[in-house]
Amino acid sequence: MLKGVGLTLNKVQGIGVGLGPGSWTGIRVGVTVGKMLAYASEKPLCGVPSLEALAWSARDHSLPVYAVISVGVGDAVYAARYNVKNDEMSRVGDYFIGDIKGLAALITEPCVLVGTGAASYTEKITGESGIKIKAIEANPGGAAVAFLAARRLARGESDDALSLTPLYLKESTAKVFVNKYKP
Amino acid sequence: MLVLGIETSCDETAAALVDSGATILSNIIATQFDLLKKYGGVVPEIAARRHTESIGYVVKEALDKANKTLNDVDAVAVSSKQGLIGCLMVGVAAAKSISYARGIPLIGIHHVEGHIFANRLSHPELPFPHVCLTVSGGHTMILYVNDNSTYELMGTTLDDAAGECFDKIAKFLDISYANRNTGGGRVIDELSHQGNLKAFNFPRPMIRSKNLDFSFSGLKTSVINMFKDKIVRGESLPLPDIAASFQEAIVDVLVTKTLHAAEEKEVRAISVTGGVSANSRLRAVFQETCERKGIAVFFPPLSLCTDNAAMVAAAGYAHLKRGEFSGLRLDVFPNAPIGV
Repeated sequence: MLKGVGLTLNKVQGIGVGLGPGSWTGIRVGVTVGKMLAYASEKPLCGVPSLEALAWSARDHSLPVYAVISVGVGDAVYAARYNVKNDEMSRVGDYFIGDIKGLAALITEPCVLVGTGAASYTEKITGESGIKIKAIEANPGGAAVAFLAARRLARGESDDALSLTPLYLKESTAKVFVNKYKP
Repeated sequence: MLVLGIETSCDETAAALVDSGATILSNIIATQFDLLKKYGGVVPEIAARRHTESIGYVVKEALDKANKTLNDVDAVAVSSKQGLIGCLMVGVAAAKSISYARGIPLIGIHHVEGHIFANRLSHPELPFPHVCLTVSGGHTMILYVNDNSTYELMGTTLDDAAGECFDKIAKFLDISYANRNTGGGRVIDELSHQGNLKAFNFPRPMIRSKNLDFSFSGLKTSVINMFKDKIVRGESLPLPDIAASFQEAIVDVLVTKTLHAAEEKEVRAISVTGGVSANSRLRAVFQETCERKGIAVFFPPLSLCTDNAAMVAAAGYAHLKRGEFSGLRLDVFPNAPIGV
């Protein structure tokens, strides 16, 4: 990628990394690469939640944005609501993990829904509640991560490379099991 | 030539700095024992998450302890073959990033080759060719080690690894993990000192088979069945005797087969590596038998028996000297074979 734009790592001033949620293995590899690249090249690092990077692709709309990423089990999803104001995005409320029906119950006003499979999510949610939703098909991309990271770095914010960890949002199945049955 | 080794194939996050494949400048191991003990063993997802949390700190500590910086490092070696796939990936992703950021060579190492180098690192006098028994929670293999670079797989386990068998029996007897602070193998080793190793005649699976393969699942079943029988009959359960007799059965098979291999290849040296090579009874029986037969036997110091990154760095140096590097496309192979 750097070769493609005629740059070397030396010219890079900061590193942004998507933190998840998403595939556990995927985000683990991404975050490990991000933090170790930053550590080894002594460059500032900034982690960006993948749902925020996803919501960024819907920033041109004045409506609230729901970013949705599939958990990969049944129709469970990770989701979060972002409000866009003057080109600034802020998350409203907690991250959501649950099925589409649960997400539909949270959506009470017209909004934009962004993610892979946005159209099919939108159809199901509108079917539940009748609320008007605009679907935008998108992936959380490297460009959005880089842009959001650059903005945070410019504000003087950064993350510690050694302690940065992925945003899994879910405990591993074994941990859930043990906590439930072996108090 | 300074090589940074990284090892994350199972439940230890490890990094080490080794100079010219011979001098250990630092050898840092962050064990996940306390994290995993309530699960009674290694949970791949939990172990992989912990690797991601620890890897940066462990690499930094390895550098700090050796009084070096990444500027001083000439190459980075990482276990990329054999282990838990999700765990291997973390070490490989970290090693690639360091290699790319610093412009230094990257070398993917077979984890078992690492274990072989644990002994070569601590015993430079280890002669070639020799026979190496690598025995741990993940593998039980007899390898013919020809020289620096070629290995012939002479025998391997058909089911459980010997160390896995130790851990599972300890877990079954409820004497490890949850209520102790060490792994199953060590608990059985310690308990056996107070037991009679001839109290029970457990089977020695495949000890008389013509090949050099192992099988430990039948032995495991036999111990479990005997234990359950005793409970049904209301008889007492002499744990030290069970532990000692069970351990003796494993040791007997490992020593007998390794000696067969040495005789077949007509070598005068045996190297024993891996976590189970820390077992005191295994060491004693090997010493005694090898002395009788005029064969030299080598064990790593206890610090290099279990998974560590110093052995990975030492193996990496050997590849480096031969000009063998992996590119940034290096992938992980959880079941990669070694030798032929």
